Amino acid sequence: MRQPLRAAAVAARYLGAAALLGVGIDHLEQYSTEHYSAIPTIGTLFAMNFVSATLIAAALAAPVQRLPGRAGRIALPLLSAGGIGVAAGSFAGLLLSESTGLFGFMEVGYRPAIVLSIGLEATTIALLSVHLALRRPHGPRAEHTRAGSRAYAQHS
Amino acid sequence: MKIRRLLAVILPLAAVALVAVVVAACGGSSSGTAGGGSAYGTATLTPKTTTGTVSTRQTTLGRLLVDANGRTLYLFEKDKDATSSCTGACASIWPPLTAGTAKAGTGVTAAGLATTKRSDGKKEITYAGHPLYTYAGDQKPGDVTGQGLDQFGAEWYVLAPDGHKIDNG
Repeated sequence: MRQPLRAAAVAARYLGAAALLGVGIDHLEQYSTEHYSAIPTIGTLFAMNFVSATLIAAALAAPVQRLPGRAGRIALPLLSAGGIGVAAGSFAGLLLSESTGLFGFMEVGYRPAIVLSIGLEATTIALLSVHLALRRPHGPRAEHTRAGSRAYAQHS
Repeated sequence: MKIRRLLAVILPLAAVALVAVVVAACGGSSSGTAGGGSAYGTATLTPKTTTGTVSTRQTTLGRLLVDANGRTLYLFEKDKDATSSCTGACASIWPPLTAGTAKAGTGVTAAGLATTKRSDGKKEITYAGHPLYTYAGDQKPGDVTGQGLDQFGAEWYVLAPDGHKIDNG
């Protein structure tokens, strides 16, 4: 049972990173192709969304758990939480711009790029939350504990 | 234990995803706002409501058409026969001036005003045969930052009171 859950945690991590990257690319496309770059504040937020989503997704895909010491233990939880934050923030901003307006900007309708963005944001939040829930602690102490548990199980 | 934790995460997320899908589905059939557009100033996040009044205002480009809130109005050169060709993302960046009826304000000829039916069923105000739009990049009355921009397939221009585009470039 443990091995499938561990595999699910790993899959959720990488698929969540891919979905987060998709969120960023979707915003970049709107920023550059659909002229959101010219909209005050909103354009800047779209650019920041792409940069932050790309950086976090790249870090999630990298073997950050191998970083030495405490950094290696907290990197993945922090990155996952950051990815969830970016996706949730994008989602909240979109809902505001569709309803009351955000920084004076109103979205008109739910065109395919917006529906795609909502889907990717929901997927990112779901997958990275699953990863956070299932992940095992890393680091020497955790490895030692797991090795000890396996040895105990084999000899008992 | 792990499965319980997993369910504790997945169930709320599934509810969130369901809400997102419902919101998207509902929004697809009743999206947008009358007049759309951006609010001026940063004191409020709520865009001001727009009536169908079109009037004129003196700006750096001369006297030109504005809406009831003083926002500069633009024509889209891609539009033909008083029919709007600006939809989707274009309508978010260039909100059409929509209203049930068009009213002539100061400096505007009532005979030049009319409405055209958009693809979403809303009525967009036209002047001298040009569907009218505001620009999300304009921040305050008198701003003309959309003037001459080439976006969504053609150029955008402000309109003089006679209904012709002002092209100082």
